[in-house]
Amino acid sequence: MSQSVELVCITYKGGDRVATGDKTQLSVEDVFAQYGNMLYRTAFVMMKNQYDAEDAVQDTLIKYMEYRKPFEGEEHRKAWLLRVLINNCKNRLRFYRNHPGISMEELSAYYEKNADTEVMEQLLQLPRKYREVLMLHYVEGYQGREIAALLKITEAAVRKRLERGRRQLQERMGGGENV
Amino acid sequence: MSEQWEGRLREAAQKLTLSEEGRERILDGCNSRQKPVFMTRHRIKLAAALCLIVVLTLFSPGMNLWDNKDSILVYASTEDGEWNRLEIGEKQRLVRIYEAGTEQCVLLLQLPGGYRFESEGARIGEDHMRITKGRIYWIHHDEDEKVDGKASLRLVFTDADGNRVDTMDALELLFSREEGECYAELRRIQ
Repeated sequence: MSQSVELVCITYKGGDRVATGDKTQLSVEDVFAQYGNMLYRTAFVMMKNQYDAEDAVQDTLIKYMEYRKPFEGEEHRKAWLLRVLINNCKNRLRFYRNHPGISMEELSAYYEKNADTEVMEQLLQLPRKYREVLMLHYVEGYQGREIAALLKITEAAVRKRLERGRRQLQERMGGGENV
Repeated sequence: MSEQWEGRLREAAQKLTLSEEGRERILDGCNSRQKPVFMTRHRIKLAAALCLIVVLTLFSPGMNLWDNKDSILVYASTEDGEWNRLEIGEKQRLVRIYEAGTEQCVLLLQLPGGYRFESEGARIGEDHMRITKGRIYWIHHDEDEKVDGKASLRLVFTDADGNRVDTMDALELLFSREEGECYAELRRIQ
């Protein structure tokens, strides 16, 4: 992966040398190569169809190209991309509420085993607010506080959504702890 | 929630990957929209600059484009020799000026082509209005300050044959004397 790096911004303030940290500038192609699949699967779970998910990813990358401020680091960049993507998906869902979701046939094209299809199918049946927190926590590995910042909700709301989302998914998968 | 369940969800989600066609479509879309966005920004800047130039031109000294030749304009003389514009619907007290041994109020009239006075004479008591080359002189002869009254001039658009055209704006210049004071009012004829 090619990476152009604007490494250390050093400024002098009152005679003291102050390092403001690494500020990397990744091209859109690099960002897409690095985060494309993460953005796509998050968008897919939110939008429930391939084409809207791809459009949401594309809009996010265009926003990235227009964004001029430097990122503090890779985690900052990743979180920014996810937040823009989630907002984009929410806006799209607001305007295209009646867009048809993905069918079982389309979903099975991604999977070889039926078990994978089933868990994803059941996840997609959940309300959006549960789908997004389950994805961010179990798939992307974000913690409650980070999810709260990404979705602009409280940590308590994140915990509640995770709890309810887990319970609803369990029920749909046939109940029991060892679903 | 078991490790097994979480693992299955994670595994299933990570299999949701972009197809090659999807990747190409997204990148093509980004590349094709990058240029228009850049150009749009410049167009916005250009449009803003043009608007600024137009506004500055309209309001710059010596470029009074609002007073265009297509409007009926009436001005009343003031004590310091300046002119006050009469707005439509506005009633303005006129200033009496002593000139050539007579006391008079003077109004300046600018009529676009095609407009004519419907009546060229008006009187209030012994006072009368004299109209010459775009000026109206309200000459006061009546010394009786208690004489109140009204007179009006109609400013109408007429065609080449002198017929009134009702589709064009018609205005009435109303003169009145109230308790010795002289007033002029410009109003639209319904």
